[in-house]
Formats: sequence, C-alpha cells, structure tokens
Amino acid sequence: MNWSIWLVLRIAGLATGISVAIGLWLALILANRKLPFDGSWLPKPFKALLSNALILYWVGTNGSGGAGYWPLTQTCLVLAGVISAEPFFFGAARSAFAGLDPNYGRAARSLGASEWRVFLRVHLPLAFRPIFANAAGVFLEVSALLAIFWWGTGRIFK
Amino acid sequence: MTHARIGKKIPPALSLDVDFEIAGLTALYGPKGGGKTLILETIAGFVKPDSGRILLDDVILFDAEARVNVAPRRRHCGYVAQRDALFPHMTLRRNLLFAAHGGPRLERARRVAEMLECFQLTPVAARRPREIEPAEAVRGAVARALLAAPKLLLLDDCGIDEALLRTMREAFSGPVLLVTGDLDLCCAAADRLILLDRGRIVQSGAPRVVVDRPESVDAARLLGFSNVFEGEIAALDPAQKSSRLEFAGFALTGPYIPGHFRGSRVTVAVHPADVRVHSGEIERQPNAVPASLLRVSRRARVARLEFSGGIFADVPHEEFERQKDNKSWQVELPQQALRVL
Repeated sequence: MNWSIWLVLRIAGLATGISVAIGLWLALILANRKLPFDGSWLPKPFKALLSNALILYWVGTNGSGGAGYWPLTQTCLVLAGVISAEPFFFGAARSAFAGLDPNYGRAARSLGASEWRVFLRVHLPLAFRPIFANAAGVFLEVSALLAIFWWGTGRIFK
Repeated sequence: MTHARIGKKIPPALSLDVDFEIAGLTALYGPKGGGKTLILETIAGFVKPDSGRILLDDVILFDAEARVNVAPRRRHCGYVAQRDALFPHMTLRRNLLFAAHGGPRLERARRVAEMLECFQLTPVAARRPREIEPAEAVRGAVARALLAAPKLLLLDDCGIDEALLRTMREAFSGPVLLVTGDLDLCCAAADRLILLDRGRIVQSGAPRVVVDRPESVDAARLLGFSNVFEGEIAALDPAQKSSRLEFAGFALTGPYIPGHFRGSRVTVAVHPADVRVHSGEIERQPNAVPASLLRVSRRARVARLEFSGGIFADVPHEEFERQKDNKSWQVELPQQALRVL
C-alpha cells in the first residue's frame, strides 16, 4: 500500500464529509433565500483556481517552513480542503434544493412531518443525484489539490 | 367554528382581503390570479398573512394581533396541491405510509390498505406516481391527506371530480375548502359557493342561489353573464308584477323590481344561454330587439354570436348552421331570464 495515496484519500474523504455535512445544512436553510453575493460573476474554474492558490499560499507561508502558526498537519490540510471545496458544494446543493418543487415540502409538512423528517425523507432523496455528483466532485477536487501540493513540496505529510 | 379572516398584500398584483366561514364543502370559484390558492396557502400555514385571524374548530391557527402563527405541521390541515402532490420517489403505498406515521406498524399498514381500497388504488399501490394515471394520482393525494386525520381538508384545483368528492365525503365528514374553476362541480357537490375576484369576495351563499341570482356586475361577469346592460325604469306595474326597462337603443319588459321607483337606474344581466335568436323576415317577438350579427365564435358545444348593442347569445351549432345565411336577426331577451343586479 502506498501510504501517500492512502493519506491523500483519507484527507480528501474527511474534507468531503465535513463539506457535505456543512454544505447540506447551509443549503437547506438558505435554499429559498436570496443571497447578496453568490459569486456567479466569476466562472467556476477561475474560482477553484483562485481559492486553491490562496490556500496553498496561506498554508505554505504559515506552515512548518514558515512562521510556524500553522504546522503542516493532516488537520490543517483537511481544513484547507473544506475551505476550498465548501463554496462549490454549498452552491450546488443550494441549487439542487431550490430546484425542488415547493409542493413536496408543503405536502409533507401538512401531513405532520417535522423539518428533519421532511429533509431526510423528501428533500434529500429528491435532490440525491446532483448532491452525490457534487460530493464526488468535491472529493476529486480536494484529492487533486493535495496531490498537487504533495508534488509541489516534494515530501510526504506528517 | 372554522373561520378565516385574511389580509395579505402582494404588490402590485394582489391585495387579499377576505372573511368567510368554512362549513361542509365550501367551494372557492373565481378567475386565475384572484387569490384562491393564496387563501389555501395562508390557511395551511405556508404563507403568513399581514393581518387577520384563522380559526379551526375554535382553535386559533393564526392571529396577527396576538402574534400567534401555528406551524403548518401542527395545524391539522390536509393539503392537496394543484400539481405534483405525490412524492415522486416513493410508491403510492409508501406515499400513504408517510402520512400514516406514528402508531404500531401493523395498524399503519391496515389503515393504508383500507384507504387504498376505499379509493380503488390497491392495484396500483406498488407503482410510482409517474407510472399511474393522473386521476389515480389525484385519488392517491386525497387518500394520503385523509390518512393524516386532518380537521380541515384544503383541495387546490387538482382535477378532482364529482365521483371522487363523493367518495371523499364518505371517508371524511369534516369541513372541506375546494378551489375550482368548474362551476358545474360547485353546483353539483358544494354546500356553499364563494365567488372570489381580485382578492375580494364578490358573493357567497348556496351554489344554486349564487348562480341564479348574481348580486353585482362582478358576480354576473364571473358567472358568465356576458350581457350586462345599464338602463332606467320607465314603468312599474305591481299588479302584473312587471316593469318596463329602457336601455340605450331598446326597451324590455322585465320583472317587478321592489324598492325602486320610476326613473331609477338599474343594471340587468342576461346569460347568453338564455338569449333566443330568431332570423329571417318574422314578426316582432315580445322582448325582442332587431340586431345585426357582428361576430361568431365557435365553442365546444355552442356557437357564441355577438350582435350589435353588445348582446351575446349561445346557440347550438346545428341551429346556427340552419340560420347562418339569413340577413336580418332578432334577439329575444325573455322576461324570466332578466336578472336585476
């Protein structure tokens, strides 16, 4: 087993899990609310490039080789992955929930279902495909970010 | 008592201001955009009114002054939406089981099986909504709403028919508020009819009374009375129980109008189906007006003829085919068909 690959997958998995949990919660709350800024003016590849570059710079300058505020640990990289991936996952999940017919949620609530039950039994299954696709995208994006970082620094993380 | 007093402004399109009681099967009838669905949504708790009070069995669901606003899931209002009522990712049985939440599993299964049987849905219970007929989907949505044991049933214009309403009333005896654009259904099934136009109640009462005796020009227009004329009372004859009414360009013998005097201004409405049309060189009929045919609109069952003077008449297609080549026309507005508003 190549431990560096295992490490990348583990960190990417953790970052994806945290992104999905936070993103789903935020997306459900904000699905039908107008946000003042959604970044739609910036094309998605540029957003990814910009945020990744900023994180690499931030982690690089403050990491173990820098001033020492952020030691280059797994936690630090999971956090960097979450910060990098969260806006994209949140945006996609929010679109998926906002695209659902409001009648489904209304019907469920009128049948006495709690918000949690409406989410688990109605909203999540109906929006599962786009959410799953975006979660997979987040996993790949974080993996790629870590792989580039690893390749760029030329060493295995602690 | 189940009562709703609702005020809600949705600028610039609509300003809702209604006050009505829901008893038996109450039908809300009116044009699109008049606020019918909004009323259902406010009662169900999906939209918060600006003002008013909503009571269900004397329990306050909403009170703007007391700042009470019960959550939709605690209101016990069954709600069947206009479309997409059933959850598409569940089978019909699962949809019903969702509503039968709570209690022992066997008991839930029994209740669902009974409801499926009652609405003749057992053969399609294992199918998803997209695999069943639209009429079966409507029956399924109503059955699901009833399984949650509501105190009030709210039915949006979901394509419900008279037979289904009959089945539903056998299974549910509580108050029902039905939104529909089908006046025949209102007359056939409703205990009470409310005419709604631009967020205001125009008229309400027993369906036959409302349909036969519109009280205002707005009510008459909503009920399809295309012929609305403003005129003056030229004579009143209490002995003969008749009146002489003068309009711009023609005069008619009408019913006696109590509470009015000679010279009073009145508005009279006549339904196009009640107007009789005569053609060819014939003697002047009583209450008949010579008119020239301006336009013909072919409808599903009748031809609507538009005559000079703003008079409309609905004539069966066969009858119009027989008369269409004639040049001179007389339009008869029978005395018993005149409705004084």
